[in-house]
Amino acid sequence: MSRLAIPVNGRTLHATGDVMLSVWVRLNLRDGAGNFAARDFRVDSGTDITTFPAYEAKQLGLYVPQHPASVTHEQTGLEVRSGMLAFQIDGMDQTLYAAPCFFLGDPNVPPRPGTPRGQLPRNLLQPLHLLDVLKFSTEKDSASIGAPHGEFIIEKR
Amino acid sequence: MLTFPLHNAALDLKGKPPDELPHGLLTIPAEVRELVEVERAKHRPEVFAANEGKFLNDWTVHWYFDGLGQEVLYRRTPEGPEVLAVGFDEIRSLTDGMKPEKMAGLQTYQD
Repeated sequence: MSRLAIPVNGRTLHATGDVMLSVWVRLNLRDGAGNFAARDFRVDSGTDITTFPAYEAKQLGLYVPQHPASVTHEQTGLEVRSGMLAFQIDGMDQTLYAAPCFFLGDPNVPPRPGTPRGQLPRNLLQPLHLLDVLKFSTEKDSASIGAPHGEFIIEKR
Repeated sequence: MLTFPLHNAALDLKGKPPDELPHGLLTIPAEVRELVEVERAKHRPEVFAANEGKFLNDWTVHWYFDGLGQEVLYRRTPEGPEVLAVGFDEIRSLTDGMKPEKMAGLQTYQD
């Protein structure tokens, strides 16, 4: 398929009762041997670049640069390895996309349990790096009963 | 009548390793049922009916895992979510390296 409509996800914030909205897309990441691993990414146009945990990347056989960059990730304080993610978008055709990515944290050590949420590496997809090949939009169609909070649309150009 | 802040189950689970976090079929808490009832008034009846089960399942997982920093792999069922694996290593092991065909039809929860 060349078009994918993803329902916007809503979760109640237990502290206040507000419903927090987000969009998650499943990417099938391609490793160095051509195998795929399915990982869910939060679509986040506010992140500067796509991010992914370095530990997970190494475990999944993705190429992770050996040496970290000379900067740390400002939001989490984690070390940064600059690389690329190659992936298909689950639910669309088999076109392979690539996006620049910061692999965050130590590739050899998983985050310890209890690490504050703000210091954890996260799966964030910056869609603006894909605008040459994909179009992104949002809509709320009253006829669509499966998406009470609206939809995030991905289309091939 | 719900009053906020709510004391969700995850608040009592902070710092526990993945193998000590809830697994299997989770009971839908009364508070989650009330939260979902609040949604009923916000949506057209047919929209709410089509999404009630999704709300009950997904928000129950959120109730137990919110803020724990652990990824959760689960299956939606009419009785509530069935947690299959918690944390990257458990999920990777269960799905043979996150193979797309083994992840198909399953949900993940991340903070």
